[in-house]
Amino acid sequence: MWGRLPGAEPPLRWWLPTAVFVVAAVVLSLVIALVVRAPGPRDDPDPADQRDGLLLSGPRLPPQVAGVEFGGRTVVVLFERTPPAGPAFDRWRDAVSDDGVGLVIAVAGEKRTGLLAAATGIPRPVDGGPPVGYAVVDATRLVRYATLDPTYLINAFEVDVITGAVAGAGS
Amino acid sequence: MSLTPATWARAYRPLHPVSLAVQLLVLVLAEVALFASYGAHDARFHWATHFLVALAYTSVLLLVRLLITGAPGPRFLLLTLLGFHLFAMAPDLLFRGGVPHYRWMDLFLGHVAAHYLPGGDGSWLLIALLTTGAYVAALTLWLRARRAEALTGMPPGVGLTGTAVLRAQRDPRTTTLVNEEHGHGPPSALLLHGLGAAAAFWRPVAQCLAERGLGTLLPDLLGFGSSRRLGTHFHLDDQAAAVIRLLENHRPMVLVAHSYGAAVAVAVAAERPDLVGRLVLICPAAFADPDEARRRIGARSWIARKAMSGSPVAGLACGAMCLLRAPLTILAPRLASSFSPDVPAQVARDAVTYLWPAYRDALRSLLEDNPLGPWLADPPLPTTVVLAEEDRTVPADGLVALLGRRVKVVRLAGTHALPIEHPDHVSNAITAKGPEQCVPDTPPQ
Repeated sequence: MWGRLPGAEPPLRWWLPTAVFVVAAVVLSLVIALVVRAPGPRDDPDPADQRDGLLLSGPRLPPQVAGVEFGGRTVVVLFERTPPAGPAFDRWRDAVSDDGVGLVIAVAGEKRTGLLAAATGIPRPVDGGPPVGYAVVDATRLVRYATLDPTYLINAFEVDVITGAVAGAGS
Repeated sequence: MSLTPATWARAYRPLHPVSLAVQLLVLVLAEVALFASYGAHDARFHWATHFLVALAYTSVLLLVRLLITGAPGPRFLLLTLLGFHLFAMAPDLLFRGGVPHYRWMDLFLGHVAAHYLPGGDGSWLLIALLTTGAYVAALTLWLRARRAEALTGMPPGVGLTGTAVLRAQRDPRTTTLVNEEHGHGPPSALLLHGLGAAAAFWRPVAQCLAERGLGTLLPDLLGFGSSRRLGTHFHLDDQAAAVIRLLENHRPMVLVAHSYGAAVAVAVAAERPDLVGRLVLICPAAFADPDEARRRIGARSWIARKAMSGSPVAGLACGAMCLLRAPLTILAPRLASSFSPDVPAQVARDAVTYLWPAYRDALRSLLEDNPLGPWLADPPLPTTVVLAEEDRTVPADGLVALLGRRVKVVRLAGTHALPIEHPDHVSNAITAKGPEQCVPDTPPQ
């Protein structure tokens, strides 16, 4: 009924997909385990909440918190454990505040830092110490973003995205 | 569409080793670049999450596609993964463009929600490896099955669907059609079922005939019932060849056939008249012309209409049904008992368990090379045609117009499912005797 069937055999050896899969699975597992950075001591206990990029809708701060005035313009409150300095920080500060955004630096140990952290709801890191990250408060005094970010110096564009997205509020 | 070298060459195209190697190179380079772009701002875990999500989605898609269409695809397997990854991470690209994340961005393969899975990237790694492993296992079985078929000289079953894709089909040249015998002594009649049915369709008639001392043989045609794993070709000449091999082990028999089975019976009688005593054709699927055939068969179901028009939608729908075969075999008898109490449970099960290519090829045989018309006009062997007065698929009046003077005609009250509705009357027609009643020993199951 049927004659010779040229090309009827599949072009791939049956064991090849399995072999490739095993190699790929090992490589991928190693990449995930060794190269993708595991959460550090200054990260959020829930990594999914760290720099999730999702805007918040509150709480609304009073016009003044620990001597810092809110309202009328967007304010970025940077939380640090030691006073930031150096050319990397200068570049970050310039990038963040170049479009009229107010920048408040809250260093661990200062009295106002605890009050600002409590008011903005910034999370506490895995190690239980003071936060390292930033909060963004819009012109209507709503806290729109609060995240831990120990590597904030290389992420100025992320702050720009958030401040840009909330810039229209109250203006 | 017949299975030809072009068919399986097309099915094998996504597995071309050079193409796969180039795709792998492009994929690895692109992923390294994406990894680096995330790593530049300490967000490698985002790369990992969205890549693993894309890998899991891609694997599931490819697995479902393999099982539904019976062939690997799409054309560029590995680039599909890259495409899914870019889609999954699209909100991150938008973020770089100044758009923050919003909850609705979960449309991008759960872009936001994916990060909240307990266990994080570790869980996604496990899910991705499990889904990819499932696809690789299925593809491996598919490759082995097609290779085994090719080695025996069978056309590879690239159009098979459901779990049939994972097993090599048996060679009908060396394996007999699955069949059941009824009655005592050597069988003197062979009963061929119609489209979407199997041997169980004839059991009530076979029981009546057994009570009259007539032994019968009830085969499942290629791709139907328990012969589902037999063959990858299901055209009329393939079905006829399989029936002839079954008949060769017996003395000449009365060929009794219903609907599409009548076309097979006539093909058998034309090829090997020495094996056939006479023909009894119940509601034979003979039509004045292909347009009439399309209209009548198309009225039976949506799938039949789509299959006859060559629409790939029918194949996808049938492939999906094949995937759901297990629950459908449970559901079908219950639905049948509600809507058609006369239909035995096994007949209802058979109606959802045939192979899609067998159904498709049978329909096409009826349209393209249906031998019933010429045969009924001037049958070379004694032929009886049993008509059902309320048959909407093959209306009695239309059929009578096709019958030559040498055809003996029996008209009975009933529909296209005459052998189930009136097994005793059909048995009378087969034995060419007067009215007799027979009561089945056991109620239909």
